[in-house]
Amino acid sequence: MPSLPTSSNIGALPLDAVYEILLCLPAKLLCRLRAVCRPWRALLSDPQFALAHAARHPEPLIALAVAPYAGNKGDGVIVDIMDLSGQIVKRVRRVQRNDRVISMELDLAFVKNVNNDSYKFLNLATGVAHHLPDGFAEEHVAFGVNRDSDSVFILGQLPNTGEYKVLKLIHHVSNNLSSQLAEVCTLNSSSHSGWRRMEKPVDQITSSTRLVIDGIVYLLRVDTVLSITFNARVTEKDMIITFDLNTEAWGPCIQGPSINFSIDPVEMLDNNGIPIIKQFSLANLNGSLCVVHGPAPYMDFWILTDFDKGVWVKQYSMQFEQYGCPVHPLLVLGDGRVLIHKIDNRFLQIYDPSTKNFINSVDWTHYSPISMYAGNLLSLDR
Amino acid sequence: MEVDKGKGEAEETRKVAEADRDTVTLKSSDGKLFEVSKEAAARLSTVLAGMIAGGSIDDNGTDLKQIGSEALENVVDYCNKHANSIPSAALISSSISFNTAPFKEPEEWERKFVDRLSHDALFDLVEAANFLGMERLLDVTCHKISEMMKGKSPDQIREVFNIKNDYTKEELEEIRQELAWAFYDD
Repeated sequence: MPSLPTSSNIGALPLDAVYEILLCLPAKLLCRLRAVCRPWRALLSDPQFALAHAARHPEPLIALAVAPYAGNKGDGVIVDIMDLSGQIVKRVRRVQRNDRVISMELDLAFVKNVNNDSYKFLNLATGVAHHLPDGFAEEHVAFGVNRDSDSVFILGQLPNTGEYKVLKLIHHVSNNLSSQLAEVCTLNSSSHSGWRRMEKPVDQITSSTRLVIDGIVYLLRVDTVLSITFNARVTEKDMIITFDLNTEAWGPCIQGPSINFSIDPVEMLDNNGIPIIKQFSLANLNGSLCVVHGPAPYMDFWILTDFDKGVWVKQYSMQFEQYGCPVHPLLVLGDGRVLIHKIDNRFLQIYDPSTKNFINSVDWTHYSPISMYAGNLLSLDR
Repeated sequence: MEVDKGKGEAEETRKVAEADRDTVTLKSSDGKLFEVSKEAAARLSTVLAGMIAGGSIDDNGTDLKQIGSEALENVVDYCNKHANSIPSAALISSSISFNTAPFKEPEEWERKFVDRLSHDALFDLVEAANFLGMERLLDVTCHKISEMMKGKSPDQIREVFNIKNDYTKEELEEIRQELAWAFYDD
């Protein structure tokens, strides 16, 4: 219970009962009910209440960014948050004109203003913007780094403090030699420190797939991905490179799952006889590191079940009528079914491993990118 | 000391007699008496369970001065229906901790039970359930009220709950702006 006098009545009912009633209601209505009276606002703004409400309403929420071409309706909406039935529970409006959502992580959207090339993280619940510091770490400036055009920004949250940090990978070219440089900054809405220089990564990293779980950034080596996707071959090196946002240092490399390729070459051709390009990407599946790989001949979802021993388990193996488009798992539901996002289907789909069937979920036409929303819509920044 | 001992013995005898009965008698604020199954009362109400265990149940009607006869009749009715409808174990586990335990949707009969109540009777029953520590009944009645709130404006909600608007006009406008998204209709 919140730290309010519990014996007192608010209007007709005791506070205990009001608390219980409000817990039953959807987040959007509750935000509106902050306008009822001061005691209700105090109760509804209590972080304890927000936690109890989240426990009562564990329905997963999806954040869908309005695709740039579809965002000209004049209402300024850049992100919709929906439940799995497709009902919009929150619409998030842009802060500035020409804001465009690049990606979404945790409870934040990474927004680029295409007018002035500035970047910010927008809290989808509160609308608070965390601006990224300008420029580069001093040492990198001295090295001649001056452009962010190909930089990759990776957001993570420290499990202990809840603090947000951003790892920036800079693609730097000098004397026709390209290299990757790394910097870290701490996100803070009021004041921010600048970028801090990090060691270079041990090897060239691909920017196409990466994720953060509990403050650890997971990245893939470029040559691993290339040899798997194009040559159907696995290299000897550890596939996954890690960076610890907490200690701000590169961590151990992780060997990937022991993947195989179909021996039957015909199976790996599309209808026109052209070899199907393989997928090899990372996903966060309910807080576990997941490698998506396929078709080999199925699309396989490997979960890292033991970080220290490097144990991978092939949790799902899905067969699609047609390959060739990336498959992104979003969430494992309570009953073991998996919510997936496949680019060539306008619906998110739910895969049932017992029947091997897919059913359509949310229609994501005119939305991109899409991710799970890991925030609490009742939270308030003050 | 001698006198005290005698009195203690008498009480002991009365308690035993009471323990033999399988109902308890409750008395509303306006003096009406209601009989309820002791087992159901102890199972569904933490307050009544405490009174039964502590021996503070009065044979001639345990005074519940905070609860009117209409609400108490509904409480007793709920307890009796409950005793007849559902295996107890599931319910006890569902009502141990109402903040963290997953909320169980009202059963069909519970829905019917609250649906027939008038607005005032429903609110009185919430108060009675809260006073008696009847978490399941509180869940069911609160769920009903929460359903009545959907689609209502803050003004309408104040009316339903008899709440005074303690904001100034400017403050209300500020809240509306801060939470603008929640006031849009989708």
